[in-house]
This record gives sequence, structure tokens and C-alpha cells, in this order.
Amino acid sequence: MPLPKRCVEPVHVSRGTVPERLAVPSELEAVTNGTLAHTVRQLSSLSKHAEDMFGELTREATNLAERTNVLQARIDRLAIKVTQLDSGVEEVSLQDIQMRKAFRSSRAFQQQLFSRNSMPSAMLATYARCDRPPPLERLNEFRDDGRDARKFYTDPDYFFELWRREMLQDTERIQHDRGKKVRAPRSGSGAEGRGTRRIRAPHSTRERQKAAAVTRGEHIMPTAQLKHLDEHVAHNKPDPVYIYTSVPDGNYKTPQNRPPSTQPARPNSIEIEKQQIRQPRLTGNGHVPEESPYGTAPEPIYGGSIAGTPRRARPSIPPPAPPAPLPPAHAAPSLTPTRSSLPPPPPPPEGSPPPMMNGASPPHRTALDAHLDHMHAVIGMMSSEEGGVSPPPPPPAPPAPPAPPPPADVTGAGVTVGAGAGEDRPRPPSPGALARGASALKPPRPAADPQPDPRTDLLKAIRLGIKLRKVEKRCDDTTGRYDTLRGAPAFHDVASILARRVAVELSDTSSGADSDSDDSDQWTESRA
Amino acid sequence: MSTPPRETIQKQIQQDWANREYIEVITGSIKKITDFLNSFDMSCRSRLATLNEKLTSLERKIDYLEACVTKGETLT
Repeated sequence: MPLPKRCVEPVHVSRGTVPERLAVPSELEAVTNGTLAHTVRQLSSLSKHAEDMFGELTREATNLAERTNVLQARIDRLAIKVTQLDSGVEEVSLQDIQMRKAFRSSRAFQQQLFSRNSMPSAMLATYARCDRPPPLERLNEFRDDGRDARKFYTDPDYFFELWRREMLQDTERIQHDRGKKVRAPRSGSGAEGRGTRRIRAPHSTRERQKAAAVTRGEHIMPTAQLKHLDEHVAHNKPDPVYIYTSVPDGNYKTPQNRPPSTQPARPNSIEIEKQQIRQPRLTGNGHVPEESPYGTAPEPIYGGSIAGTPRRARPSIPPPAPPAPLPPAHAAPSLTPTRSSLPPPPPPPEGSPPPMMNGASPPHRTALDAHLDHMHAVIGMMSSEEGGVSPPPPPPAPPAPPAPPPPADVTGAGVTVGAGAGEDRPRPPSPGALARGASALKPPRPAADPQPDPRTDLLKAIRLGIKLRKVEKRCDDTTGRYDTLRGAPAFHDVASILARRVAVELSDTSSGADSDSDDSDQWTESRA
Repeated sequence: MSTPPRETIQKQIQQDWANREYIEVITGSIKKITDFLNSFDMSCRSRLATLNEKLTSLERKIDYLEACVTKGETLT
């Protein structure tokens, strides 16, 4: 509702100009006189307002003139000072320039612009004409909560209070959120978080492998279940899975007998390694007749492992560092690198089995040639490293893998496989084989262990860096708080509230940048 | 009650019209004065506000210049 600042009165000049009780000889003259009188009143009112108005303008202009005079004096002084400056005479040291205090403008916030004090007198007069509010303050003594009873009727500070409360709550919320946001990554990236991450690193490959397999739709059984399954398998020798593994080329016949749940959709490098483990044992024992079932399949084992592993129940746990799952046909080549660290692959190609295999599975031959060649090379390398003759060395090495079964349930599957496939098959030479198996299995772990060490240093450095930044940020925070506190400790005026809010928001943006850097740190960390 | 003669009535009405015209002129003048005062007030205030702004910026500039020129205010 627009409220007129000044009102010239009377508004209605000609009304009520005829006296009702008095008999007037001429009504027309009475009206004219009355109207003229009202007009004169209007003029007086107008002159009053004009005086008031001119007074205000004069006051304002006087104020400006004073300021202008003061400014003029300052400018004059400054001009004199500047003219007195002589670069030739005065020597200004660099240090002085460096140590000079930064300029800081003393800006006073204007507030309470629309209060009673700043109200023009004409408006004050209008307000003064208003009816006073009912004397509700007399009821204060009957109130228990100590609130002013009149504030329920009229409260000029109501909206300011509303705004103030909202702003303060907002500020608190922002601070709270920011604290959370800042603290969350901190706690996550704290010593514990880092520690766990570091500890996890060695296992990450396996877990990654599992996750990848799961995403591909494979079902990974929990180890306990697998153990159970293994026992079950051990009891039931004729389990189609293992029959299949022992059968040379019946790769794709057995699947029908198998329960679908135990058929992983895809061969896994893990299985292939299992096959390796198993095969060495067969060949290593040197029992040709026993091997014959396997022997016919030595190469098929690879082919079969590639194609047939899917039939087998999934291994309880993959070897320490299994390579990424591979497509059946190309699995072997990419496997070889990992195999180098594992016990030497079976001697199938060089031993008697190869011919049988060749005869048994000609179709696979072409596909497996490359793998075989690669295997030959690897075996040669391994044997040369061990210093033994190429054919004999492989046999001893093979037994090793089966040995590990007892220690780790990873190999447990292999053991059960061995037992199930050929029980009459001679047991692998346990003592030496065990040691070798252990040594053969170990290599990957040592390789994984040393990794964390350099990381610890890096992490330490990162952590230190983060700590430093945190301290800086806290400083900023506190300085902001002090600034606001310097303005008004109680936050009862607009300027201090706004200043506090601005400070909080500014520090919020800085924390945002900080969190970004945190992210980048995590990124680099994960990369490292 | 006898009615006044027609000429008298005419005369009174004519006088009244003249008075009303006079009053109209006066009130019109008052309105003009008011308008002028209002416009004067507005224009003065806007000019004063502009002046105030300029003065404020000048004061700040002078503040800065004084701070630049004065020596001895160092951090030590």
C-alpha cells in the first residue's frame, strides 16, 4: 500500500463551508469564504511541508558540503604531500616496500536504513497520528514464558528476526554440511582407510577377477560351499565333471550329465592353471597307463581346459594372481606369462602323451599349436633355469602344484580333482613336492608384497600433503569466523550476519576445491 | 417569503461564479506549487544522491591514495 509521505490538508476545500446552525444571509458567499479559508489552510500546510522538505534537502546538502569540504582539505593535504615527494631525495628500500601493510578499506556497512530514526518527519507525524496499540504489555506479568505480550499484537522486528533466524540457520547448515563433506573424505582417507586399502592391494586382482566373472553372469560359490562340493565330489568319483576332465576328448559330451548350476559359462584362466597343476601330476608320476586317460588328453586338457573347464565346478579360489579371464581359444597364449611364475607346465608336447594326444584329437591340434609352441618355450626356459634336462625337470615340478592342496583351499579343488579323477593314481611325492609346490606357488605373492612398500611412502607423502592443506583450510575458517565476530559477536545486525554468511560461503568454495583435490589424490593414489 | 428579484439572483450567481473561478485559480496554483515542490524534491534528492555516491567514491580513492603516500605503516 503506497503511503503518502506528505499530505496537504484539508483535501476537500469546499466541504462543510456552510454553517448549519447559523443563519447565513448569503449561502453562496459563505461557501466562497469557507473555500477560500480552506485554501489558505492548504497553502499553510503546503508551506509547512515545503519547509520540511527544504529542511531535509538543506540538511542533506549541508552534510554533503561538509563531506566535500573535508574531502577538499584531504585532497589539498594530499596534493601538498605529493608535491613534496621526491624520488631523488628519499631512498625507499625494497624491504620497506615488501613489508608495507596491505591497504584495507574501512568500509562501514549501512544498515537500519528504514528505521524510526531515519524516517522523515512528515512520516513520523503520520505515524504519530495512528492509534496506539492496546496496552498489552500490562499482561506481561501473567505470562510464564517471559515473552512480551505486546509482540503478539504488533512486532516491528518480527520480519527481521525471521530473516535473522533463517540466515543463521542457513549458515549453520552450510557449515555443518561442509564439515561433513570435508570430514567424510578425511575419515575415509584417514590412516585406517589407507591402511585397509593398502592391505587389500594384493587381493585386489583376485577380487577384481571375481567381480568381473560375476558381472559376466558367472556364479561364484562361496568357499565353504565349494569345500562341501569338493567333498561331495570326492565321494562321488563318477562325477561327470571330473570324468570329463579325465576323458580325453569327450569335452562336450559330458555337459549334459552335469547339473547346469555347476557349469560356469566360460572357461577361466584359473581353471586352466588348475589343469596345469593336475596335468603335471599325471605326467610327473610317469605312469603311462594311468596317464593314458589323461595322456590322451594332455593337449586336449589345454584344449579341453579351454573348452571344457566350463563344465567343471568353479574352483573354490583362484590362484594368487590369476590373469584376466580369457576367451577359450586365445586363453593359452596370454596365460603363458603368468605361467612363467607358476610351476613349469606339463611336458605333454615332449613326453609320450603328445603323440597320443595328436592322434586322439587332431582337430584341436591346429588350434593348440600356438599354445604348445609357447608352452615349449616356457618349459625350456623353466627347465634351463632349474638346470635340469628338459624332459625330466617338468615331471618333478608338476607334482608340486598338487601338493599345495592341504595348505590352501585354493588348491583343495585340485586335490579333490586328482583324487576323483584317478584314485589309483600314485600320490605325488609329498615332501619335496610340497616344498616345491609351496615355492612355486609363492612367487606371485612376494611379487605383490613389495608393491605396497613404495606405496606407503607415496601415501605418507599424500597424507602429509592433505594434512597440510587441512590445516590451511582450518585457518581460513577461523579467520573468517574471527572476522565476523569482530563485526558483531551476537549477530544482531544485518551486516555481521551477511558478513558471516559470505565468509562461510567463501570458505565453502575453498573446501569444494579442496575436496576436488582430494578426489584427484585418491585418483592418483589408486593409479599408483 | 418573498422571492428576491430576478436581477439580484443573477447577480449573486455571477458573483459566485467569479469567486469560484478565483478559488479555482488559487487551488490550481497550490497544485502547481505542490507539483513543483515534489519535482524539486525528487530532483534534488536524486542529485544529492548522485553527489553522495561520487563523494563516497572520492573518499575511498583519497583513502587509498593517502595510504599509498603515507609511510611508516609497515607490518613490522
